[in-house]
Amino acid sequence: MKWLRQSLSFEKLAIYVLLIFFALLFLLPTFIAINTAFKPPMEVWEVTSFPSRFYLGNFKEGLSKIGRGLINSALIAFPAMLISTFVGSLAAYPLSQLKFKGDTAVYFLLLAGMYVPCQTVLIPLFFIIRRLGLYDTIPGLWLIHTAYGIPFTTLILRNFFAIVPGELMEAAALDGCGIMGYYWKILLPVARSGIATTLILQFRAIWNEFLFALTLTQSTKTIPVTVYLQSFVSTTEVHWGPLMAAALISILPTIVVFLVFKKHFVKGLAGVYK
Amino acid sequence: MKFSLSFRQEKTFSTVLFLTIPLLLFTVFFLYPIGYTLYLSFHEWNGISPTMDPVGFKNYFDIVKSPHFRTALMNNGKWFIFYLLLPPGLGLSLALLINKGVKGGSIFETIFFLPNTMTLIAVACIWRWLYTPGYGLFNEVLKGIGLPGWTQNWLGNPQIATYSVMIAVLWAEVGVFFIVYLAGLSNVPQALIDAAKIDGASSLKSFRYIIWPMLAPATVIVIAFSAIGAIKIFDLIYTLTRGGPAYFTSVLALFMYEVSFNRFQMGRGAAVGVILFLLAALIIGPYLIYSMRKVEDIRQ
Repeated sequence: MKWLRQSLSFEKLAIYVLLIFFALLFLLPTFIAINTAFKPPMEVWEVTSFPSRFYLGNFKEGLSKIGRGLINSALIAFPAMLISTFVGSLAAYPLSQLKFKGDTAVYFLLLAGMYVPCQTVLIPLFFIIRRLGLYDTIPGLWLIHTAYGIPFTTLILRNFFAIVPGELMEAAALDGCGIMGYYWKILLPVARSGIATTLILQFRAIWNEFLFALTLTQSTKTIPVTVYLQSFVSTTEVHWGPLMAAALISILPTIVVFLVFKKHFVKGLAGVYK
Repeated sequence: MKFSLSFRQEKTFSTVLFLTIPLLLFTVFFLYPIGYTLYLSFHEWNGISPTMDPVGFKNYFDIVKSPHFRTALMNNGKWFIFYLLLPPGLGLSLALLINKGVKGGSIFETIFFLPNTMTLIAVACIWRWLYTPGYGLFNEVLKGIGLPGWTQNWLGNPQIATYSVMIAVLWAEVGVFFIVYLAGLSNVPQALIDAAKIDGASSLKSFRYIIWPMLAPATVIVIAFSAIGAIKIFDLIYTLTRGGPAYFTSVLALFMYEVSFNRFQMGRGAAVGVILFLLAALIIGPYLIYSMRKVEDIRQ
């Protein structure tokens, strides 16, 4: 018995050693980026040393390269996450609460959209957006993120709405609350945690999106931060200090959102891929 | 009676009303473009000229003959194998470690998931710096531990460049696999494992015969997720290597983008888009059917 307990604690120790090893390994790239970002230009090349002093010049230069992109990304991401979550809820409501003919087929169709490669729609999309006069505009990106968010937002919100008991609707109907009223007054408030999760995950997806932005924007007033960052890293002579600073600035919003709303993140992702 | 009828009518009306916007958007941005891409793939068009020349299957034949396409397809195959093995394997291992009831599990969770919150473009910036030939972290560490002969041009050597990108992807994306498996593991009743232990089952045996079978639903999702990851992979390769050196690290998504938006061969680009769509349908189709059946089950 004593031997068993000892072997168990040895197992525990081995687990901690492994976990800490992996944790350090996972933190290393971010740590190197932070370390480099705070170094004066002359020290950047000594990658394994610490900065001799806290140098903020890299952040200043990095911000001058991608600052406008941050504003654009915010102007794109906040409205787009709201609109796309709203449109997702429109589809998720009947698919979770109202049984109708062909509901499975509709759900199947929308779900399949999640697996369509972007490159399959990219050329027609380019011309559709031009014809709508939305090429290189921020509302154009709202529309695109809303449309291509539908499979994901519908799927995740449908799961959240499905937990809301059907009796609530019957009770609401008896109280004279119509199907519309039920959606606004009962379903959305009751499922608010699920809606928050969807908003957060959409924020991350839209903030981080690259291909559509690369293809459909071209002027400084619309290009989001991902594309700014991409053109920064693609220059022939990269200044690593400012680049690391810019990369860190670009990921700050999503990291903050993740740290604040971690439960939503984890629950949402685990729920979607369930 | 009157009430129930009008309620049903209202229900039908509302269903239609609620689905109008989502289905309209879906038609304009999914169905129509897919159809149009298919149409375009049988034409030659530079994107500007008012006319398109019908060319039958020429675009497809041209593509299949192109060495760039073949390399890209091979690389997608490598990515497929990578995605099936490494992110799920590492994600499951990390989830199993944490699931043993360690203290500070939440901190480890945060650390393993953190890269997954970053845009892949920032990930590419960081990893380009780590891989820099002269003084990047990897080469510095190799020199530091007395292996200067092992230093590499990680992204410039065609033999290893794709694998270098894979390490970056593993770091960036393992978090979601980890989360899915962690959720799967939380559904395995601890009592079952304890009972097996009392019966003398080793950790390995209880994993093989209890945990692994109960993780099957999670694994199915992970496989679907992996497959689509291998087909969609673009951002990180575009930013890290732009498909280079030459086109040795290219993939179909990158090939398509290059052909369409740098060379303006829209018909050819569309043909690559169709091939990508078919690959996705081939791999994801069975999964969708499986998951639909599950949906039906839930509602019974």
